[in-house]
Amino acid sequence: MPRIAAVTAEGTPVDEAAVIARVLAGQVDDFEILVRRHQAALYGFAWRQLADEDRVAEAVQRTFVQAYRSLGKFDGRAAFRTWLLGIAVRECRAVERRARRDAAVSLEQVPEGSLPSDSVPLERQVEPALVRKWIARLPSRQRTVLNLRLFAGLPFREIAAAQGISENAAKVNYFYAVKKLRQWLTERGS
Amino acid sequence: MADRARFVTSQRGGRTGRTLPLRRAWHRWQCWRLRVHLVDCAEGELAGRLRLRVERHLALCPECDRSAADLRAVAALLRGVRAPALTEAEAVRQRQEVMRAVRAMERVPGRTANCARRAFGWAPAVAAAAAAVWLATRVPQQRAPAQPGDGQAMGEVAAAVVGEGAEVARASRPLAAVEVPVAELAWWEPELELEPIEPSADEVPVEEMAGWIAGDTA
Repeated sequence: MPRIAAVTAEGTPVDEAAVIARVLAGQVDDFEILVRRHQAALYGFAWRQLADEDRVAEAVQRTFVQAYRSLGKFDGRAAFRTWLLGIAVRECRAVERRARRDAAVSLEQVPEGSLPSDSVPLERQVEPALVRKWIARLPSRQRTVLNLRLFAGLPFREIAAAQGISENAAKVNYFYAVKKLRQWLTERGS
Repeated sequence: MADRARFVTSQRGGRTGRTLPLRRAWHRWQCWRLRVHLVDCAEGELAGRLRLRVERHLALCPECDRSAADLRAVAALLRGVRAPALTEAEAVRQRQEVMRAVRAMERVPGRTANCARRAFGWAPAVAAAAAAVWLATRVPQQRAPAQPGDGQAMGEVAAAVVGEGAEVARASRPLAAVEVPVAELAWWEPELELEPIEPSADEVPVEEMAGWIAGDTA
């Protein structure tokens, strides 16, 4: 569809309210405009939020489907991306929970090749992967606030609204997340 | 008092030179209170008197100063870490899957059960009100003279039967509208049947009683 490609290239302004209105009016195909526009941001967020690479695509897909299902509830008080990220947080948690449940299998059921190897030292791993691993070690709330702040670039006020916590609580969570990361960085350097 | 004296001595660089518990607690409390503002300070979003206060604290507290520096450094480091870019093929595949799932729903978004509830949420209330009206209009036209309290009693019965709807009916109509003639009470309590009373031999006819009254007056 050339029309979609023309109006949704990154950086091109799109009247999201009009698109949402059209989708609500029954033009389902226009939902692809919104998907195309926010796909990369949601992928980046889910990539940092989830430790497992395979679950990222699943979380992004579930987020969009859930967003379509709840599109009628979007009231425009926050930006559409903020609203989407709020859904993404919940979907990532759901995916994580399911991953933990699925992971409860005996070692005999796991093929040898899929087990993590200890032969590669931590220092020699790729930096983004290492950072991601550290972020994944953070408590859920701290991780979410950190990702929304640093990578999605949301102000604390919107993070607080999306998470249902106070602005100060969001800042405190961010503070402790950074403190822990700093500690791990120091331990790695020493 | 001794603590206070030792605190003052310590503040003035007295002989002990030790940090006293009171002062340490005060300092910790300040650190704890300002940690929220440290985040804003590191992001450069603090202004006015609060900024001066935080900066004064940072000048005195190396630990908080280090925390503020960490906030800046770690944030800069993390912002530099980019997630791997989504390949075009992967992006297209993902979009197709999303759209396939969306089209499979075959309905307009937002028109969910919640919307249906919102749209028809008034139905039970209307049904209750209709039941109350039906009860009220079921009363026949010929009525016995209303006794004081009858209407109120029937109103309570109606409220007990249809609940909210009857309350609505009572509130919107005068009480006399739901008064029921005594003869109709059999409808409410079917076992209550009024049997004809046979006149006994001891009974005085009405005409004779009228004669007594006329005699008295005469």
